[in-house]
Amino acid sequence: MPTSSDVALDCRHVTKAYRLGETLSLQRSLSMLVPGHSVTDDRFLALDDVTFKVPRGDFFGIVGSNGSGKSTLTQTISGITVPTSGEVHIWGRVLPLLEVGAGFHDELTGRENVFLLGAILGLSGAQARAAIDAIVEFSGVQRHIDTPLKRYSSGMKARLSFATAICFPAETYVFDEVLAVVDEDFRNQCVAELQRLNAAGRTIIFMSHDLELVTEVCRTGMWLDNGHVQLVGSMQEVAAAYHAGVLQHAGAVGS
Amino acid sequence: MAQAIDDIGVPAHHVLGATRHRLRVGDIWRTRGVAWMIGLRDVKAKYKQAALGPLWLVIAPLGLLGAVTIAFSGVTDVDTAGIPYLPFALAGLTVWIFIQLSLTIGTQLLITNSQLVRRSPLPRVALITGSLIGNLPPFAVMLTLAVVLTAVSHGLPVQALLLPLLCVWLFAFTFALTLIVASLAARYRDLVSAMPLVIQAGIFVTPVGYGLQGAPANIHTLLSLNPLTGLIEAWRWSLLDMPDPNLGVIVASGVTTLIALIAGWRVFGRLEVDFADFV
Repeated sequence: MPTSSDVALDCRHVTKAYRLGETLSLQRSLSMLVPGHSVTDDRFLALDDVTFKVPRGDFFGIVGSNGSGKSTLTQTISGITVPTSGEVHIWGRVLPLLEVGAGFHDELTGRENVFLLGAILGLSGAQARAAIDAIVEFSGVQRHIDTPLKRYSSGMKARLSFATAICFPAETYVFDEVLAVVDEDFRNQCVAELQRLNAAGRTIIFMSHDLELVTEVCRTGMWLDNGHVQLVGSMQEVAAAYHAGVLQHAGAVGS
Repeated sequence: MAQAIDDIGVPAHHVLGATRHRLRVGDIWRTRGVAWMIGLRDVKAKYKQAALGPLWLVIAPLGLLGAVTIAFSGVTDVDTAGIPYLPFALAGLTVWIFIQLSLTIGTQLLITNSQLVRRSPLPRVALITGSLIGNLPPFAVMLTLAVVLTAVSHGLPVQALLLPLLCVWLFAFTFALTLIVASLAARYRDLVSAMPLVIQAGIFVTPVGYGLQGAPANIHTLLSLNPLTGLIEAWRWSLLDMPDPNLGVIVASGVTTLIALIAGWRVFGRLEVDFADFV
């Protein structure tokens, strides 16, 4: 059993298979009744033997094009879905924010939603009450905090869910493309806060299509391509390789 | 927690593998905090932007009571073993409405909360217990109505002291059914189409608006097979001092509850692992 205290996350040969096509339909049910007719499933590997380590205290970026397995990977390391094979080793509490507003309910007010999301992320009522002022302050939605969430703009929702997530204590934070809808001011505020958390020893795993942002904030990184680990290294190196790879692919399609 | 790194040195180590840790019964209690928040969310959300708001908690069961009274007591003649019809029907409806509500919501539970299931670390069992918590207010209203009406009309018997135990029985059975329908409906959406049928037919083939003792022999056998029959018999005996409750049916109902609990827990434990891949 590894007991090293300098690793936050250790993915070992993680593979995740999904079935292609519809899982159930009347057509499928009927064809199973026909003797000798078997229904075959096409499988697709969203993650294929993914192995990498994130050192504790790292600011780790993951890049990859759509469908490269980034979201499946975040779901797997957050314990939301189970790998088909392989293991994910985690040291400490992981706090995932995988989608803006995930866990929020439109009919509840901003304040009620902060408490709800807090509970979903595993916090006690007392911890949430202690953090509520900081969350409201950070999100900048003070005037609207007692208004139902359905009256919020998508940017305000993003602000509130981001503020809720980072005001809660964890050893590792996982963010999946959640800064895409906020304005530049708030984005800078978030980046500053993430850097502060990181300086305090927290590990941050950050997924984004925004290469510029990723290169700016992440120390090391990984390029995921079609479920395979293409490259792990310094973020600049990974971003450059990914960028070149995308250009090359575009060139190949173009010609 | 924030201090954990400094205090303990090495943070706790978890392994997420193909065989994820087995769901334990203790998880129900461990996740009570978030279950309570989910229940609260459902209750709050339900009555927002409604002019009558929580008044519906009283209006809805009274409406159903009216309909049942017209159908079973007005049109047909029901043998209630000498008990006035309203408290007799209310006792049955208290049980029925809780189960009906829980099954209706339970079937849709993982589907309406799919964003939570796919994108948050919420323990799934808390979604089940939370939905049951959210159904408690209408149940509490019904129970209060039933107890008050009985107390006023002909007094509560001694065995009414057993009502808390019967509530626990009802919750346990409903929990078991919800575990089953919620996990199966996540994969087999057929349940979503089947459930309204089950609910609509259920109130006629369960002794809610009528009693077991008055039913003709062949129907009596059929009703005895319904696991809710024994539960309602026990409720009527406890609350209304109904004479000669059918002990055999009550015991059978209790045994079914235990089997359903074990089966439900196993089905849920087995399917829970890949809810995120199916909803």
